[in-house]
Amino acid sequence: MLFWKTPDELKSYLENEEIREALRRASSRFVEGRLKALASLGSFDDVRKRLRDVKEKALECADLHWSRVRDELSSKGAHLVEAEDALSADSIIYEICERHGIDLLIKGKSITSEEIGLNAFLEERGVEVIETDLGERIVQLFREKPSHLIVPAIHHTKEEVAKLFSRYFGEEIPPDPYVITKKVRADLREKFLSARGGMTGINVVSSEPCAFYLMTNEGNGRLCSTVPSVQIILTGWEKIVSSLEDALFLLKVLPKNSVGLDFSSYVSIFTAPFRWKEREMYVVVLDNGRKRALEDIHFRHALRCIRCGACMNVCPVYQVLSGQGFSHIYMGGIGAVWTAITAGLDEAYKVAQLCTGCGSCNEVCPVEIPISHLVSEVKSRAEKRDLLEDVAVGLVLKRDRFSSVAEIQRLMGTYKGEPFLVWAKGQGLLKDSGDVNFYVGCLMEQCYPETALKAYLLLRALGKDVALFEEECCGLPALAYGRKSEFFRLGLLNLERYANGRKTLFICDSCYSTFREYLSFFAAEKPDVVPETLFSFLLREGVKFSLKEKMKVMIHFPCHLRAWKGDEELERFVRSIDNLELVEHPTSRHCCGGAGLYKYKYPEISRAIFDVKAEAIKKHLPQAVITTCPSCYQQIKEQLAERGVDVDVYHLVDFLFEHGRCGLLDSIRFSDTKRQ
Amino acid sequence: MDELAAFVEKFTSTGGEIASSLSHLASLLKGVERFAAEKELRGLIASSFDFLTEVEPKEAQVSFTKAVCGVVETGSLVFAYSAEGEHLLTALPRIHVAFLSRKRICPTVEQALSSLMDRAYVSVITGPSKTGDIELIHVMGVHGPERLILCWED
Ligand code: SF4
Ligand code: SF4
Repeated sequence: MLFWKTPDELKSYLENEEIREALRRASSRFVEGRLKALASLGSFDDVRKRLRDVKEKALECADLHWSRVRDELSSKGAHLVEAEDALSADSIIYEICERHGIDLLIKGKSITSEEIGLNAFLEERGVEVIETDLGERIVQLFREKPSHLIVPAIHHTKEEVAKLFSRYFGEEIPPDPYVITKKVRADLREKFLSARGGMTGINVVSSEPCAFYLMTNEGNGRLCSTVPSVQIILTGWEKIVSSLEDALFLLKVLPKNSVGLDFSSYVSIFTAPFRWKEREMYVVVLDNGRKRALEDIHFRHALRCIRCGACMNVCPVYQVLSGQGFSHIYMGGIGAVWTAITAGLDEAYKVAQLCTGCGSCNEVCPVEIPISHLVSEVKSRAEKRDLLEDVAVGLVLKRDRFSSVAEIQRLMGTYKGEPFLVWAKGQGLLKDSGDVNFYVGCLMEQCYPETALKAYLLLRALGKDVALFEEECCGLPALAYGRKSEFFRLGLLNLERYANGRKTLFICDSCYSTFREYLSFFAAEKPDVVPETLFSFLLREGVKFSLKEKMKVMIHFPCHLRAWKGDEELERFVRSIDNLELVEHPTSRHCCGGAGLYKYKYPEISRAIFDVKAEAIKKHLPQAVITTCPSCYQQIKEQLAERGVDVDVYHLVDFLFEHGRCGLLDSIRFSDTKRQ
Repeated sequence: MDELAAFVEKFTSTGGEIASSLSHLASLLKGVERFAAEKELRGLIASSFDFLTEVEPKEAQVSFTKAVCGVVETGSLVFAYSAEGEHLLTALPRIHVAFLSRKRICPTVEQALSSLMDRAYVSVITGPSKTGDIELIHVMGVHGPERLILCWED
């Protein structure tokens, strides 16, 4: 809208269509592969419970585990050094290099080393550092940040990579990945054989037996660890688990959840310097904010992260900005939290702001990290907040007539006149008794009062006595934009109001999800608040609709509904409508990019997120696109109009009234829906 | 399906090849000249494949090693190293041939490793070395072998 501007450096990530396509390809391949590969482990819910437990148990006594590991290593002639922060880790590693005359250090992929800025630190002091993972090597030679956790150079075409290596080798290299790979193999082989020092990160450490487990597919990690005479392992303090079984379970889950690979090509397990006399083995254990995070009731969850990247593959923002745009060093939503832990809140907030809060990430995390909630937590703790955002959120949270979302919407021309509840009050319809409560929600009430009225009349036609209240905001904007105390105030207030044992019905999935959210905080105290969406209610009541004529329809499942698995019931309801042909498409469950204020704050990103949906809609050209959340509805309508796609978009209530047939609808006089 | 058959299926699904006999192996190694092998295997290799000459591991095109066991669950081969330089044999050459006894098949990685954790370095190898780092196009043999061939010992 009028005030915000997407920063130019972010826009530049959106401009290259080829990169976006590559990112999409990677994401969809990994997402599809993931489900297939995971099937062999049984139910994902069981897997993530077990792995969460493995990590949590180990974290609780991590120091104990590490002291065991330290003793064991020192009895075998290896060294364990703890580093309190980035600088001390860098210095420790540099000292090891000095001590052993290492002027060339070969490295396996290690995001922990990026966290401490190791390459730059060593290079400034005359130690040459060479990345050996092919993707990391490409990125290193281009002097860039990785764009993807698993495929760091996904943003480059083979032609660009060929050009890079033609320059590097001083000869013409064809744009053939096989040829390029073999050239790099030969080049790095010499480095492996001549380097005195090799460094890698580590995937997991077990304390009993004391062992370090390193996973690679290319086979570079094991060469870094075993060919040079000095082996350095850099590990975060949180990487520890108790046993061999625990470590192997993690190693089985990781590649499956990450890229859909059953098991990595190479799992190397080190328990000691393996040629006793000539070899040195150092383990550097990095704290850098981790121990403090363990004491933090929110951020401690992030310490379970096994860096599988699944949360990024499903993230709509990551898919359009890549890991370069949506990161500080750590990428994606979980990256914002890791940035908060390791680099501070200011940097973290910059990343966190880019999150739409869709919650897709939470669903795929193998250790049950509530990622999107932690991102909100980062926002709520940041001190240097976006002033404009604060003002806007403040406005949205109010529901009086002069300062409310309706006012903002009036500015934008989507405001439709008298809010539903104001009208209902005038008609004397507000009351706190009845069969069901109806929570209208501010966007529905103020921007789509006619839709709200239709829903109300439908309930009445169904013979329900409807309790209606003067409403307070559900508090979602407060939660999403980091005003936690306001969220809790509104939550308690709403819980109090609707705690009457009756179902509370919603026609906005954002409000619905927020009520579910409060219950996850206060469920024990408020067992008599029963939120349900209107459509689940209709399904349960057995109300049957059919369409006046056959129609091909696509649906957009709002993320907030999906987060509570409500999409399955919505799908059942829609499938129960006769004469409706539902076009199934994976993008039906993708974020639309609207996300409340998000689309005003980052219009270009929001538009880019919508692209995949637009493509699908253009391809199938349904007669209608339906959804059940006003914010998604607005986004879809605006985005399609902007692209000149002539497809009708409906809130499901409006769709039923316009195209549906049902005894109930007949009993509602059309004139009822036209208010003065 | 018995364990052995299950292992063979999984092993080949990860990109591994199986040589049913020494003569089959010889045909799989067409065009190869320089080999390196574990001490115990050197005699056998030299006498069975007269087209091969022994060289240092880093010069070798093909290596011959003995695997400790095969794992049904993942189709992996497990190696534990004791003599110097042995680990390079599984890592450096373009082709890696591993000998394994049919009796040494374990159902899970846990079982395969439980007796090996006193070794300084163990590797669990599953298929050839691979990458998809350039445009997600699969390429075999990045830093490790591009072919992993299993030959039954018995
Ligand atoms: S909530 Fe959505 S946008 Fe935010 S990090 Fe998770 S997947 Fe990405
Ligand atoms: S947050 Fe969860 S899904 Fe994301 S990388 Fe970490 S473990 Fe994987």
